[in-house]
Amino acid sequence: MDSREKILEKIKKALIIPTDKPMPKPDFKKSPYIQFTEATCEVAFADAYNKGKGEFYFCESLEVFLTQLKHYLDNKNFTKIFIWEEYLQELAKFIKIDFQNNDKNLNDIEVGITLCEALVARTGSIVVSSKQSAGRRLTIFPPIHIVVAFTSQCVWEIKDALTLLKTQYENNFPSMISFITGPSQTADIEKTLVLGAHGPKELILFLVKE
Amino acid sequence: MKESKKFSEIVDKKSFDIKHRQTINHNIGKYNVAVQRGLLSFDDHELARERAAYIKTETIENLDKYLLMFEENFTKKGGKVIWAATIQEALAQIDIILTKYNAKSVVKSKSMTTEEIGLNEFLEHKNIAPIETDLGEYIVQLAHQKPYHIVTPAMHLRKEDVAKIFHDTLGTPITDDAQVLTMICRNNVRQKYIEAEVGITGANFLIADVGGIAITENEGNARLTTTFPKVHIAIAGLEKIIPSLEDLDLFWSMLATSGTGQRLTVYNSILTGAKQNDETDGPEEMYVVLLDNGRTNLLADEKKRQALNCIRCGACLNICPVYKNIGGHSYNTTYSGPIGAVIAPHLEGMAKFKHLSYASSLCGACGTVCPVKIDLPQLLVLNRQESVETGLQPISEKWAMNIWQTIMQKRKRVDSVSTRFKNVGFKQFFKTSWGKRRAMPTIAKQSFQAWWRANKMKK
Repeated sequence: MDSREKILEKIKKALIIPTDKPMPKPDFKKSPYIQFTEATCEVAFADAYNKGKGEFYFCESLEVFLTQLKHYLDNKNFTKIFIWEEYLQELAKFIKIDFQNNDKNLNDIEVGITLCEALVARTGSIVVSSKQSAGRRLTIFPPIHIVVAFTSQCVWEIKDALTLLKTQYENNFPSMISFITGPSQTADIEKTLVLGAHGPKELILFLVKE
Repeated sequence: MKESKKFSEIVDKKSFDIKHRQTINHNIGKYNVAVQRGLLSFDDHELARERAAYIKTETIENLDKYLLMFEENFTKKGGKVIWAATIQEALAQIDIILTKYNAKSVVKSKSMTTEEIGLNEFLEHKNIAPIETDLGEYIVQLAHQKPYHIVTPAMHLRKEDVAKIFHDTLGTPITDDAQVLTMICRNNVRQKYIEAEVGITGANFLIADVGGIAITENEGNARLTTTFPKVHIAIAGLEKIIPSLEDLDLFWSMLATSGTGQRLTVYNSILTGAKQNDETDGPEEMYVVLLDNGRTNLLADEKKRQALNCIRCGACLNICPVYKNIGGHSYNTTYSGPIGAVIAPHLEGMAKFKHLSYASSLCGACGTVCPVKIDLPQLLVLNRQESVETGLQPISEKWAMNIWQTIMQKRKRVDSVSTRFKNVGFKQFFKTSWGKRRAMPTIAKQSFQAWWRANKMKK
């Protein structure tokens, strides 16, 4: 008998006697979290996101966004910008931003610009997945991560985002999904907050109204 | 030396180490403030606890069903599941993968399960460099220590200590800036993700319905560990299972609030397999090792089974007056604090670690903070009961209890010797066990019974 069968056999035998004090079934309808006071999902999201350490730019339209992004990048004088998603590459070309579309010299990366899968109002989280051509790398490796999101991508709860991904991808579920809530951080030394432990030190979100 | 004797000796020193206590109080003080703030995002935290407890209990009650569901769904997408009954089996299977990829170095994200199986020692023995990437783990690895706490491995070290460890091992200048110290780790580890052939992580949850694992972290090191190396191995205790993806809403929130007081930890990631054909990057292969190592023994005990509900948030450690005084290293087990005292005897041997269940005042604080409502104080009592019932208590204790029982059952026997004799006898008998830091109470000249008789007569 191999280990798998041995373990399963042991579990079956162990479970013949039910738990001594089973938990009574609690209410599963009511939300355990505080009620939202915001009227719309994107406002609730912005409130939650701004409680964290990420930077936030709200753009009234795609045109405004392009101007703002251009302004932002030019101001910072970045030279190593990586963009791997076609849609963003088109936009970047349109506003004449130099970027790299492959992973050559990824080690020198300054900024990664990516899209996202969803935004969660409850926690101010940005959801990314490996189905985006930004891959696993561009949402974690760069010192600065810029995310471009649209107001229509906002959902209220973590649960809603998970259900959305499940229905959207069905049998082609991403190999990696990550809920990003703020820049990389650590408090391992005397509980002192330090940003940029291993992932991006800065997380910048451009939320575009649709 | 016997484990319990070693424990007594270390504890005797640690409990009166003022510097140690200050460091721990500082850290746990900050944790407490954060948790109070974190709880504000709950309207009904008690309801959330009840739900979490209910889901975990129901899942454990159908453990075989959910594990098979996990295996089927994970395998469907190309992942490989390894069932390991023992530590040796887990290591042997991991060894096969390391050989296949000709591994020279392994990047690791924080995982208590890898501590449990002694992975680092095993890798070093095979001349493969285990690289801890979590800052806290990185520090304790350099200091040749074990993690002090299941969530905050370097909680016992002050900035100055960390600076000294880095200075002595890496030659970096002494600094008291946590930011500078963190960047030393970041810069040293960054290239290692790219060089390592294998990435090894734990798993906070195994998700049955999508066939994947979930990892919760703040630093991003687990993300990087599962991004660059050719193969990703996740090692998880088989009790980590939850039924569905949507359950993460509750469990991520509970883990963050109880673990660090955050509303949500920075990176909550779900990994369901290797890179797919339509994806940009990711490992070529992904393995999940399901570790038993005594968990099914705990499962077989219907009274103690609930200990398997644990999500390893560390809340019971942080609230425990015993933990705060004796510190994490005194336990000498992988899992410390109340949950460690409860499960260590079942994972590592009752005879060896039963003493931990006695090192508690049963104040009950741990039970009140557990996000999955494990009745930890009750489980400590049950461990004591098991150790007595299986005859594990010392012979001296057995004798003492017998004598005590015999005397106490008859008033005449109690009164048969003088108070003076009792006082001298007690002092002699409890010479060592009473402890040097508390005074032995003296027995009153007049017994209560005698006093009662005399006073009753007067009225």
